[in-house]
Amino acid sequence: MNPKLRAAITGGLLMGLLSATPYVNIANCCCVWVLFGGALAAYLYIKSSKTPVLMAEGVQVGALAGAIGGLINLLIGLPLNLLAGNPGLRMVMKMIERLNPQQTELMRQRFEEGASQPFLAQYLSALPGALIGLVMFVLFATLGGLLAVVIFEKRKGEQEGPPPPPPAHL
Amino acid sequence: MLARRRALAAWSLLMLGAVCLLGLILAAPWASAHGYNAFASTLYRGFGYVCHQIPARSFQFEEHPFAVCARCTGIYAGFALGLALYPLVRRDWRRANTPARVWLFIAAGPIIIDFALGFFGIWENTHFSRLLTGAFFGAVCAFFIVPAVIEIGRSGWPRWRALVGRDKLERTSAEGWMKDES
Repeated sequence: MNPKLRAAITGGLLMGLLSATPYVNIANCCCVWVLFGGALAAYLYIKSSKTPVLMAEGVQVGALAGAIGGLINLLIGLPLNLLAGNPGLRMVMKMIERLNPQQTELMRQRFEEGASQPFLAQYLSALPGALIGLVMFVLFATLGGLLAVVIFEKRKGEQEGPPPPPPAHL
Repeated sequence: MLARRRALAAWSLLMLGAVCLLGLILAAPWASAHGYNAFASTLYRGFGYVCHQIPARSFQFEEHPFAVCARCTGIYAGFALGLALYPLVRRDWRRANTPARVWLFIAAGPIIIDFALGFFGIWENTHFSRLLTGAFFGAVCAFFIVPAVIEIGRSGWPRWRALVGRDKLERTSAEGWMKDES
């Protein structure tokens, strides 16, 4: 398998599974798993590449990992979270309740309206938002891939050729 | 000439994307305030995948929170601003070279400090501090992302084909692509 694709699948799978798991996916409120997945994919590619990895390649690997992770989240994460009663949203609501009780009521009304619908209707109504989420996954995983190249690729000097010979003793 | 045009196209595409994202962030509260609830809900859900969206920590428009929190708004706005400034600040902006990586850590510093001070109860951070620290990070990120996209603009589609293994293209450096184009 192409090493770029292998790295992207590994990063994307991990990103998708972590983002799909109820409670664990709460870390995604700061894009943690998405950035991590994209960065991991680029890091794995850097490790497997014999030549210095270009930023563009980091972007490509990150974007592909984001697409894979986003699809997993769309196909597995969304139904799983609906079945689990959207624990992430409930936790955020509890947090808001402590900060601002008035705003919680509006959110609770919206949440209860959605939760009273049948599963398929809930899934279909959540789908357009999840598609925007997929785009966000690609964007942030791309950023993760790029940052990984900037941070972990330290072989850029090799492209400039071998170091100059030491001065001769006259 | 072709390289210059591709670099300009890559930068324009990024700028368009950043402005669209900012527009969507502002469109969510506007749609919510004007009764377009389905559209607003879609936007809130979409951005909810990458932001906590706590209303108390978000800017409001007509008493409805933005689609992302104040810090994320800062990151997106700073990124757009960084993109706009990029051609003015960097004379050699068509070349795909990034600033030193230390800038990335310097840019992340204020966010970490602002968050840590609030987390440990030393200082209560404000909308403005979150916006400002986020904007600084976003603007610096733009200076790393533009060269990467310019690099893709130069190398173009063949690299994507090589990525999925449909083509046995040899891996060439960015300089190689530049020579081909000239």
